[in-house]
Amino acid sequence: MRKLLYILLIVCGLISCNKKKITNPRYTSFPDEKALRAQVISLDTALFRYPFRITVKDSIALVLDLHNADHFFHAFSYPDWKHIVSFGKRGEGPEEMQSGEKVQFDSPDSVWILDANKMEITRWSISRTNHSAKREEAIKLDKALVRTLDFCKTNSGFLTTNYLGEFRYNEVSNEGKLTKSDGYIPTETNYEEISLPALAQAWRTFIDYNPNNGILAMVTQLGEVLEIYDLKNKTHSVFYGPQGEPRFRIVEGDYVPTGIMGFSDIKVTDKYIYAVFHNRSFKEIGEAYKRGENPESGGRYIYVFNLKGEPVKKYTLDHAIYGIDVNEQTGTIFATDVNHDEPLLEFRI
Amino acid sequence: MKKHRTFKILLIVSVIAAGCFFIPKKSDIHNLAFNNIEALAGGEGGGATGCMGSGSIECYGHYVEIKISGVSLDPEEE
Repeated sequence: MRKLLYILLIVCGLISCNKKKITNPRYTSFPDEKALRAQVISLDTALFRYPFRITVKDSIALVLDLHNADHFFHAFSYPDWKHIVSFGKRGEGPEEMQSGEKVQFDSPDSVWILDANKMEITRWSISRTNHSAKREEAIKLDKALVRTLDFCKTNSGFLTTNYLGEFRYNEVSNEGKLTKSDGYIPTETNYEEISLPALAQAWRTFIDYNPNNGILAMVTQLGEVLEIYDLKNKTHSVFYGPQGEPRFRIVEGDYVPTGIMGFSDIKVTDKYIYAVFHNRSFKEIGEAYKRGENPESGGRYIYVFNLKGEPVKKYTLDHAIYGIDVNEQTGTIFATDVNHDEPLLEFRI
Repeated sequence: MKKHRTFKILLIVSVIAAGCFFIPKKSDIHNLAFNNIEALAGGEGGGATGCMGSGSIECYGHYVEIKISGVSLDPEEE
């Protein structure tokens, strides 16, 4: 009898240390909602195929075009939106780019851009007066990172998303070396047999970091999950929205999204976190393709959270947008729209 | 007798602790997965999944609107 008790104790112990069930806090609604109408920005040139990101600083605006055949990046003067220069030529050459995923615009001589396919971050300088863009330096990313789909520049180097799933983000030196990895995928699902890289790809996030408050925030491309790493106070919080975590199937080791397209961009300001939310089901997108239609791409919502992750405001938009930049001083949100020929928008908040 | 019992309890605790430590964690990444990732990064396709449209979902090193299984446009279908 006693032997049986011991065996039972061992079995229970092993089960309890193997299955750790995580339950994350939920948000269900926003205390304040507002509809916003876009002001379409008139441009002097037609350049875009898929304007994915926008960033505006002082007198220069930069736009990243994910699918451009010639150049990934386009600079405009601000606020008059005259074309300055296109740069980041697509190609296989040593100074050309194979892909463009992110631009961080710190100053005209510190424009940081990521080429995930080349595993390279480059720094560019932009001259408004000379209509030029110069590639100042290239940083090869550590092979241990395998692949990097998003990054933020910090004083000591870079923060990057983690592609392998063992951690959530990486710290990388100014020379591109991996120095530290931290965090975890906050799934509530107990996957019995799944490769972590496949899980990490399904849990792909877009990230932003604000050095003033030390907040690194990330949102999932699939589903509706917000994660906040307070790097100053060393805290971490996760919030699930009504659509929950990314839903997908594994097909021969690769993931196929089955739920919804979630977030597409995030900005952390000194007080708030802004995120573009799509809430479009892949089933509906697939059905639109079946009918021979071209489904609208982008999100018609901007969610605003405070730095603790509490919902503050929900903006409903009259255009579907992809990327945003936020200027709280002037009360402006700049946005890209991949559906129309006039793809740059301004919203007054 | 008491000593014997304590020894037994210690043994059980050690077994549980060792079990927790040696249970293979999900973070053990298979070499195969690494190879797949490198192939994806290199833009090699040809798996059981397909890529459609222009979008931001990563699919074999490209960005697409929808990732599908085989030829089905319905993500719920097997």
